[in-house]
Amino acid sequence: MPAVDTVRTIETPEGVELQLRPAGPVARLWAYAADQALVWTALMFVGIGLAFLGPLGLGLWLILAFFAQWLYPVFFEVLGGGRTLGKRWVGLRVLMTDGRPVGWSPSLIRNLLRVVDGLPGAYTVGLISVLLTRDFQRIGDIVAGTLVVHVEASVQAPHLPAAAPVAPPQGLTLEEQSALISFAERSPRLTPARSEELADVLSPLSGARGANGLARLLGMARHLWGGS
Amino acid sequence: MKAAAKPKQRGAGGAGNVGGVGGMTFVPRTRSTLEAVDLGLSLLQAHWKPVAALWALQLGLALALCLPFLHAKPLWIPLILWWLKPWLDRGVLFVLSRAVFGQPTSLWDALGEWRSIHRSGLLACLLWRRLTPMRSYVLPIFQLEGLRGLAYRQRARVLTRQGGGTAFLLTCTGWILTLLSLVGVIALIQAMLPPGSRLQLWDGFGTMSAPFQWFLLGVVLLVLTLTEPLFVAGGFGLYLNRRTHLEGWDLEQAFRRLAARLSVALLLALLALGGLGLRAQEPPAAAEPAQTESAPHPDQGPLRPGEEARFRAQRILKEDPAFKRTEDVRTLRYEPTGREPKWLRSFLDFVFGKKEPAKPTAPRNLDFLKALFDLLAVVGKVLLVGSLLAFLLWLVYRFRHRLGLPGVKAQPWEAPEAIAGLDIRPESLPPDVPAAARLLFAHGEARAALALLYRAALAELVHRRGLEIPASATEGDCLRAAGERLEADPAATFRALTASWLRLAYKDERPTAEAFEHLCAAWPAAFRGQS
Repeated sequence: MPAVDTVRTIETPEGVELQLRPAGPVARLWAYAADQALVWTALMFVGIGLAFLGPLGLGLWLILAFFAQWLYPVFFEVLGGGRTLGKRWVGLRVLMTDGRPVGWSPSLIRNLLRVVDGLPGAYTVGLISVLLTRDFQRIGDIVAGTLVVHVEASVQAPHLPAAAPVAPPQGLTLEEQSALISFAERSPRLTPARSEELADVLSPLSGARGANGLARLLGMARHLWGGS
Repeated sequence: MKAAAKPKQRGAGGAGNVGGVGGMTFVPRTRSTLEAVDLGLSLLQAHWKPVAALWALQLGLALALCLPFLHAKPLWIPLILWWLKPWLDRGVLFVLSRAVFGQPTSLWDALGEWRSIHRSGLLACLLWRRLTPMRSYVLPIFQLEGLRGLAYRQRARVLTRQGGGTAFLLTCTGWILTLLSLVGVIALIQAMLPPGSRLQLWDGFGTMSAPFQWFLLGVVLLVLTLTEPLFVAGGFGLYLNRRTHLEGWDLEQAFRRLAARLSVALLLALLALGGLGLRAQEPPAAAEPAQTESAPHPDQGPLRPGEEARFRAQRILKEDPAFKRTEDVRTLRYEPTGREPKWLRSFLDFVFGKKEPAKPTAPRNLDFLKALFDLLAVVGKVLLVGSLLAFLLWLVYRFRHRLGLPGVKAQPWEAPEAIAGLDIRPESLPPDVPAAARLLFAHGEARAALALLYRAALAELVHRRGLEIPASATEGDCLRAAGERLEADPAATFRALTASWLRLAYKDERPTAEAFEHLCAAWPAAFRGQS
């Protein structure tokens, strides 16, 4: 059985690897709740204004409610980078399963099929579908070929602790380099004992144990990152 | 600190023999908290079978204990099950925690470890910690780490520093999903009944008849089974992620891989040297001959494209067996024969709703729904009015000093740390200001010397004379404030000091030595009250 992971790696035809993190029911429930709260609050205020127009106002309000229910998510998903306001709040976005941005037709399909996911009136079908699929897709997602993913946090330059730069004695792969750098970045937040314990694992590389080994690893991270 | 220990198990009751980072069956990463919840759900998806088996065992046990006493009042059973959820959770966590380190779990394993699963903190979880808002996040601390009392509280404080909010959100999600699924399952069953059936499930909430109570028990069992493992798995995902953050499990895994590569690198290099010459280049396999597909040609002469298409379609319709299928559609209908016993007749009538539709159905008892909405309206009204009142009170509290209400003490004046960018804290000044200024002036640092004199004068005015000068005041403001409060002599000195400071600061015009000496000489008398 392959190791359980929340990241799905997709390779584009250009040979670029994309990492998608499908979002489960908990995050999506709150995004949906926030969207509904927003839409209905707005509709309530508009409704108070339209009430002065009498029956005409009611008609206008019903048309508006229809558009808000069915087209609000579509517009925001296509024009807002795959994110409705609720998804923006929770940190989600909608993508095609191959990582492309979502277009008009898939977005329309997945939002219209909310009718099916909403059966029988309490989103039970959608919940079961999300729990049964590996990428947490509801029926609308499966039909439209879309995916709701966690937005990746933006990458920032690491703050490395001060250490004298040391060149690693061996060539390291990209993953190994980034593991070293992220170790150096996180070691101030680990306990000193745990930092040294981790550094001891790499004693074949650093050639030292304990505090010396830790200092050499931090130096290698500085060397790899460059700069001062 | 305990958090720094290797990922090993302190108590028993789960995770069995945790082998260390090497044997993990999930990919440790530093995830965001919401993504960590999804990690837990993915774990549950991968290992749902043993979870379901143990869950069924526990539910069966609970039902077997409840039923003999409560068969007359089945409505109590869902309530008791709901209260026993922390106990049910332990089985789910037991399976998942073992699965994380690659240990499969059978029912016998669970029975063998039965005591250790329940040893730590079960009573607390069932009694005074039953309603704690992060229940599934802190459960591993009890069950897997075996901590209790003070040790538990310290550990929980460390863990919930991150992810506590998400854990609470997860608990709320559990409530919402349970309620939604309850409504959904009942609505689904109602919708599946044959058309015309007179069974109105929703009315059961009004009458609470005994059959309905049993029905409700079944629905609650189903819904709990759907949502509770989800809640536990989400909390466990949060827990795993928090420990990955605290202890660098992902780093350890990457480092172990690198160390393993380094230790075999030499051996591999030797092997590669030996093996290079041996591997012969195999010729590429011959390509499969392309299947030639000849389009069917009509018999008589060329046809136009439209006709050809029609011709082909007709031929396919004629020849392809797929279009020759006939289908029997059978539907189940009930026709009374008059020979069946009475009870069967009435039962079938009831289920299919075939006969006696003329009997007018009683208006559906929706009183409970109305009561529910009335309750909602009252709650909403209280919330709305309450929040409005709270907002008003907050406004009054926030601006209590400006409103000048009786009984509110005016906000005490607090001296700023700096005025016009000059530090005026008393502790930043030397004890003998003129002497220090003279020394600076003698070293040629006229600007520093005059700045010291000026800001020391400001400090004296603010701290000893009690002038209320705000931090945003300009030199002119200070001069005006001083002119209002000081006697003539100190005011004149301050005016001269300000003037020479301004000339130096903005015009770079150094005062002459005599003028400076004059200022220094006048300073103690003017601002310290000394002669």
